[in-house]
Amino acid sequence: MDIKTNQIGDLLRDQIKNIDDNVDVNEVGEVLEIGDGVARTSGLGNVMSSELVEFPNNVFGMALNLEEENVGVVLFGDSSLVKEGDTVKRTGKVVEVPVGKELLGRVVNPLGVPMDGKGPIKAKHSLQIERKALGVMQRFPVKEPLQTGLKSIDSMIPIGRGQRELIIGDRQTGKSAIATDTIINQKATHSGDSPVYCIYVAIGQKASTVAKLVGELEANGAMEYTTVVVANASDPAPLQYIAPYSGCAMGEYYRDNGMHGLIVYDDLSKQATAYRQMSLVLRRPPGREAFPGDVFYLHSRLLERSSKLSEDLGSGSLTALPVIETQEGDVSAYIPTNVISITDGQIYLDTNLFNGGVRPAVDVGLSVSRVGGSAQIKAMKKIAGKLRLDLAQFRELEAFAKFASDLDDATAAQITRGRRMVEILKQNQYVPMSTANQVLIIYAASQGYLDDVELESVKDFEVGLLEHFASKSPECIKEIDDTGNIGDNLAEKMNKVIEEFKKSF
Amino acid sequence: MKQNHKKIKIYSEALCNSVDTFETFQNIKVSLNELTALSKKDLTINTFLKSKSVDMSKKMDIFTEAFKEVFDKNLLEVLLVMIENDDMNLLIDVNKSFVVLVKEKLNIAYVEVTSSAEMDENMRNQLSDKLSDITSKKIDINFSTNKDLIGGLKIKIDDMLFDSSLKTKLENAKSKLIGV
Repeated sequence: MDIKTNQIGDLLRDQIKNIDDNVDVNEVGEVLEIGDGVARTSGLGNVMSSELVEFPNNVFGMALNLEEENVGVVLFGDSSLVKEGDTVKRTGKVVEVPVGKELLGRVVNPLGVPMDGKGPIKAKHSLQIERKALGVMQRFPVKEPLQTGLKSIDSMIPIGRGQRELIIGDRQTGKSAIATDTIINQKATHSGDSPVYCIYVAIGQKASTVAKLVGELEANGAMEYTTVVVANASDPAPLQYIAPYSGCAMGEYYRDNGMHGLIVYDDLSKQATAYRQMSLVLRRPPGREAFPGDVFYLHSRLLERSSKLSEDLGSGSLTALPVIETQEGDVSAYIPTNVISITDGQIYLDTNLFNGGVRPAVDVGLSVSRVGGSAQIKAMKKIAGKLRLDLAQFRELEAFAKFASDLDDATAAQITRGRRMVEILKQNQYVPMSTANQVLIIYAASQGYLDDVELESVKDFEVGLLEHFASKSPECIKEIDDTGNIGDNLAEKMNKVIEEFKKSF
Repeated sequence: MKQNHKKIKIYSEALCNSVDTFETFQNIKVSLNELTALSKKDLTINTFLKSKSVDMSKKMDIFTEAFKEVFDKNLLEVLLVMIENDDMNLLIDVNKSFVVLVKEKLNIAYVEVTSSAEMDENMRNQLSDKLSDITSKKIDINFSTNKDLIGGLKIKIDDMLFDSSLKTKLENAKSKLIGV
């Protein structure tokens, strides 16, 4: 491109001409005290709750405690740049973030500022981070499935679009892996007519962990439809506190415009901890586990914003997958019980299962999906009932089998079936499976075709069978995809194909 | 904490009730500011007032003797009550609360003018009169200089800041040109 010097000069002159040189008028206050990321200010008599205020050195804060004598402001930047006696300005704006498809593929901080070095985000819209959840009349029951691509979840703990499903477990049990796989699995929806846009909110995580995750999403082609909101462990507590609300506002854009969104809050335990820190510094009275009294409202007002909208409002949805980390498997602690009671079910991950090689380490006994059942396709519903029953019986007998040397045939058969069921539910990370393939392999197992297959060969059998179906009878896969059901004819056909494969295995 | 709020309110209201004119207000405000500055600078007054070995009536006599010539009579009386109740640690807050109350009572606006260069007496008076006309209030004005402003003025009337300084204009222009 050839630009002459005088053209640059003209451009600059034009821009300078348009600069508004009127007197800057602001309502201001004065910093009375500053410390631990919280400033107490005098003045600011008309400041609104959650309003963004500006300190010197480009440090911003949010007014949280509006008291008679002063205003408590939490800082989003380096508090060492602000000192006692500094002037603080009102901006007149409640904290808001850019929203829209321009954010896809980007990594931003909770204020919507890009962190990935890919230049400014030219978003056309913005939304306040704190918005009221919709009422009953604006909602619609959860009916459409949101496939995670994980056999154990899609079959037994199905998630629907608009649902809030908690992922709970100790550290290092694969909570984030489930969330990441679910995001990667949404790639398939982008070739259909109802794509799911994803938002991953990383709260209080190491920057290196987030960088690794972004790398994985990119490698799997998932960043194209995903926005990552990051408040690292080294960021101030107020940023970690607002991160989920910012991500939620970004997700609500899709929901309110008739599209589908999926948001992962990883994790809300750290957000609660950040909120506790802020509240204690703001001198709000501590309650149980030193959390402030409104810690339930902190999570309920966030998770209530995920919903399925009525047809009048465009039938959009926002599905939430909040993550909670437990300590030593204690689900009866304050924050876990709160979030369990708010969400529409939970996926409980067990350390022993994880260490025993069952990955994802979903404890199907403790996990539940309260509304997802109606969102499951018929084919999956048919085979899942049997799967659940087989696994429940297996769990009962497994402990008993350890003590008994001689087992009757029926018990032995049930244990054999259960072991194979557990084996087929194991799945590697970053390889989500299509619904049709899930149906095929679970069907084969529940019909007893795997009972005589060696336990060590179950994985090979699964891979071989799915390849066989894809090459020899893709019409079965197509029929499951199209009808979402297993009719008598299809079942017969599937049985034949499986038997045929077994002969060659 | 709440108890202190109550006490601050009582003392400042007592002081406010004794003020009828702008001049009295200025007089009491200056005296309070000086006393606050003095007690911050020199700890002898605080030590003396907190001392258990000196009799309360003696403390009050000495205090009255020291300040009766310079302090307003009503102010001195309020201060003596504060000494008697061992509340002199609330002096800064009482001063702040008193200023707020009187400003409301006498319709006074507190103005801070910051300029890049020293303003002469004539300019100061003109500005003061103009601001008094615009706000329809009596003006309690303070002038200061800050070379960093480069040019123009910063006028703070109570909580509103009117900034016409060259520094701010250049900063605004910079952020608009960069597009941040």
